[in-house]
Amino acid sequence: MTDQNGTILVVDDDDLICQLLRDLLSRHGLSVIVALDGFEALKALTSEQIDVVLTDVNMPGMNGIVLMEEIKKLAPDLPVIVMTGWGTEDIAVKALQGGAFNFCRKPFNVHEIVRIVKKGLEVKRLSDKQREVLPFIELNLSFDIPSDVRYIRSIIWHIYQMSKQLGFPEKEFNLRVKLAIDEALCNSIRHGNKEDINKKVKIEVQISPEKLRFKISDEGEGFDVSAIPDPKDPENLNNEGGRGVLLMAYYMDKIEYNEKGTEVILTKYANSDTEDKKQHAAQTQGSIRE
Amino acid sequence: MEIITKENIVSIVELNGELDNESAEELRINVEDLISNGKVNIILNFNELSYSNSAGLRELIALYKLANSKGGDLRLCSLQPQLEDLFSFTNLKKVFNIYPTEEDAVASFE
Repeated sequence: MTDQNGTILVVDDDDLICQLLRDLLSRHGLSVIVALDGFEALKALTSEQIDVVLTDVNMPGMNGIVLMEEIKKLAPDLPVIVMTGWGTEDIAVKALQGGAFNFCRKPFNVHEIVRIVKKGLEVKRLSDKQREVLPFIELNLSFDIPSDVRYIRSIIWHIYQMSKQLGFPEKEFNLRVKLAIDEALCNSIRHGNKEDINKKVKIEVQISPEKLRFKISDEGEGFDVSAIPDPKDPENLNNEGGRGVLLMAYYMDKIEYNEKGTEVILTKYANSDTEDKKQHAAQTQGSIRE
Repeated sequence: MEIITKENIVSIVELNGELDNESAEELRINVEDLISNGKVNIILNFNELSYSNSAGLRELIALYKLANSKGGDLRLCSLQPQLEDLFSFTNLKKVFNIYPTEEDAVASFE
């Protein structure tokens, strides 16, 4: 690597250590931002473009391991280097298991710390380079499964892994998409194909960082969604079933059924503020209430 | 899903993991077993439950009705935000007695 520029976030409650690291890393052409605790560090991460985090473990308020866990939620690919004291190998192992890029011991060997930071920068650049192409990728997956609900967990897992890899927001997937696919597949298997193991359910998935689209078709006689009693009606609250379709509409941005009732197309956008999404959400809610 | 049952003034069932098509059946077997042994006042502790689909909700309603039919009750506690949202949106908060903590749920039976 020829270009060594980059911004390092140094987190340590010891002002002197921060100053020392700032001087050291600046001499190697790196920009340094200092935070004296974990909360300040998290604030810096949301306002600054950080390439590598170098954090102490023992800090009051939020220790370095907890800080690293918080950073991983915000920026999973950001290399975090943990500074531990001598004789605290167990903490170093814990940090590595939690996703730390590397660790270095205090008091520092200056050559070692510079080497590890530069390696972290290299990894960050590589990961940024790989991410450049993400907006242009669309992945198409297809499953053709027998009508058995036991396959649902694995299918969701595969779709989740691919979505994560392409940068579709994990939180959006786990909180909303997962339940909607679960319900749609369950409907096709149980109500569409009546769990006839000889009948198949076809799942076609388009995955991009911006959007997930699922087309789920069964070989049943057709399923009239409008015939389902409103499960939110006080009269129907004690009914055991009938909530799957409602949940699909609630958690996805767009739902389309074919006329025969054997196919459903579910769409979820990564950015929930798109106009397209708002329009379709309004339409979907309307059609469910009719 | 892991299910742990504790005996108290009431039976407390701790649900761990996800409530879906497969684990809903496991829950039914456990709770039906309690009810058939006369333990009709049951608390389901959702503290470690991160997910439920409609098959899970269906099973909860069926078990709630079963406990009621035997003169008991099935109450819930410690819902995580995602499940709070699910119970609010489906109006199931109007069906179940839901408590913030296990202690509150136990106290409700006293």
